[in-house]
Amino acid sequence: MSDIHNDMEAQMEHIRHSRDVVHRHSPGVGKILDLAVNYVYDAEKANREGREVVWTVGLSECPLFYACGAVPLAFTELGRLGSAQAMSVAEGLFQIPRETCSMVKIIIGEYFLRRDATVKRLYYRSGSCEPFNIAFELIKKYGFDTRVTDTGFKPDDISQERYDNLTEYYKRQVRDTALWISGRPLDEERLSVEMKRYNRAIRKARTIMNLRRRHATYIKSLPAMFVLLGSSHFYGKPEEYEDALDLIIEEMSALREGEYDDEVVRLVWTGARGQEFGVYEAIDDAGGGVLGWCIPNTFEAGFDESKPPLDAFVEFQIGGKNSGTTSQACLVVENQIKKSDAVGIIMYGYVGCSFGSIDVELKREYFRKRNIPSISIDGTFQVGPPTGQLVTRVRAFVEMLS
Amino acid sequence: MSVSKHVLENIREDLFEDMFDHGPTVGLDIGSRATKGVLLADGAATAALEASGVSNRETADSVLQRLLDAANLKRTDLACLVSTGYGRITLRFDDIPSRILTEISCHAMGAHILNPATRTVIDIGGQDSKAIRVEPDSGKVVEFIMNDKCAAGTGRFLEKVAQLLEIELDELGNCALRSSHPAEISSQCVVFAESEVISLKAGGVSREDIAAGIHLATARRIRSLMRKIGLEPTVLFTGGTANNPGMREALEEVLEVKMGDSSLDATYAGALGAAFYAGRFARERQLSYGNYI
Repeated sequence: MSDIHNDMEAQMEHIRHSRDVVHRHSPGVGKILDLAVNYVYDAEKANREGREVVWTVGLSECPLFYACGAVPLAFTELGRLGSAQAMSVAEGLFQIPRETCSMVKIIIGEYFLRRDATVKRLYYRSGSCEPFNIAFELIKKYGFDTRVTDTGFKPDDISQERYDNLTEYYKRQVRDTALWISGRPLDEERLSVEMKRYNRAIRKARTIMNLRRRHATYIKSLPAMFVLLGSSHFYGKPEEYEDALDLIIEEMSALREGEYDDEVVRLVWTGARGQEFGVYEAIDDAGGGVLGWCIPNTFEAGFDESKPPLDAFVEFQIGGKNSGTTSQACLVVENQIKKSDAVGIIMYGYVGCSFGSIDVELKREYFRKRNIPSISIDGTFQVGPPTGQLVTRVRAFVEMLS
Repeated sequence: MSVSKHVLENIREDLFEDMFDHGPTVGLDIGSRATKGVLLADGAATAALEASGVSNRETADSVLQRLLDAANLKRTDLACLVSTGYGRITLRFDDIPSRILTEISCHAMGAHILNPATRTVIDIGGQDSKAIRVEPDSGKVVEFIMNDKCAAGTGRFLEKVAQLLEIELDELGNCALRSSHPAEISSQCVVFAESEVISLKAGGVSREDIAAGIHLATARRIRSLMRKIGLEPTVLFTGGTANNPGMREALEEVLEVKMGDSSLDATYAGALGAAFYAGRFARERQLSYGNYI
């Protein structure tokens, strides 16, 4: 375990520095970062003490887990906690090709390294990331109880009959997943309560993002990402997470006009969330600020509370507007650019993600035609500081726009 | 290890308006192979260059001291110092107002000062290469692209080949100019190119032809970068390889454009740009000690 802790220090240092130095002025941000730091450890501890905990994608499927009495533990957190050995385990033991996405490799490698100490149940709702399906098949051999379900995206011109068939299929999957999680049939009433909680949390997150646009430097880019990151899984502690959001809203609502309103180069971040926290710091240090977000944690739309819970849950899953086609995603980015008065876009993907790299090029072309500058970053999911060249490119981009 | 003094000629007066009123400024460009420094004072530029040692801090201090000695100044006389280059983040000055900027911004501005007609900068450094489009009125970056994923198209690539050909790196460019039939190097990867060079040597291809082939392969790599941002004359060639005549000729041949002239050794473009920005920060009083902004 000692190696694991040494490797994670670089990532943790960024969070601690952000909490204890950069955001000393904000108890609310401190609470969010505390939740982030303790999330995996507390969830693993709860599991050892008998609580049902399941590794999940950590997105809009989370209300289902809470409704089934389980804590969703987002496996994307493993990138932050992963050890340097994870990559070599993935390439060596599992023979995953070197060219494969670093996120997939780090996660499967990390599960192997933690196999005797971590939660052994794993759920994956397969979105656009096909290699995870294979990786999670491979990890089953080491005692992981793995469940993978499909996700499709609703085409714009779908017929009603086809749409009905699609939703029925996904409803069956949701019911089966509820049985898998808890051994009991889905309690739709409870799902409704959790979906309302989800909606409430993302409304609060949205309020914070709107307040940031007027007080851009009160919360810097890294903790803003952590606010959004928790908006689905709540870091396993829904009440504490909501309390932290309330506190931030209270703090920011009390700010005077012009306070923490330093001039920054306003940017939109799109793509993966990135585990190289030094990139976020480089943006802020160079005088930039990420004020618009198009990441998998969508905060602009929630579940439709006027519909029966399962219908609304499925509709939200298959109507995801952040993912899907590139042209659809570009509209989301454009919306964020407008809302945040952004002058540039940071497009973040992981090394080895062939889907992502093509998607980024299409997006860059789309925005080049509209004279909106963008930069694409190939990040890694591995722990440690970003490369000097990566930081140089990010800083130079901010300098170019300043 | 050289120090030289140059009167800045043909510079845009409006760009340097009251630039020297706030005191001397220094730009330090800490590259992977060499550390370059430029001191701007009283309309003149003093330039110094030293091989980057193990400690960026020591090399930077040494270059700074040479500049100050040549200009008969003390550290406390400086109005501002700007560090750039890959080693910039390791520097910290508690006694000099200082800032950091990326080499991309600094090379663009430096190139603009060295040749105000510059629209495009090609910077081939020790560990990466960059193509930068420059705003003609201000010297600011309009767009840039970096080759930072592998050593192909960088000074490191040329260095490796020089070793394989058993000649000094400084001689590689002149060696290439003596070629009559440049060898065809198909691989862009340093590792594969190494095998290719060994095969060519074994096949009796001359050192000159291999050197020319390598320069052309590097230039083709740069051409790929240029396709992303477009090439608009005047093009200024900067960075550690700017003084390599073989590289210059290969670039001109592959890109079908004549490289622009520079009023000072273009190796110093980054440091000059940094020194210029230092003057601007001093004028706008955007200064800090110790911790960089």
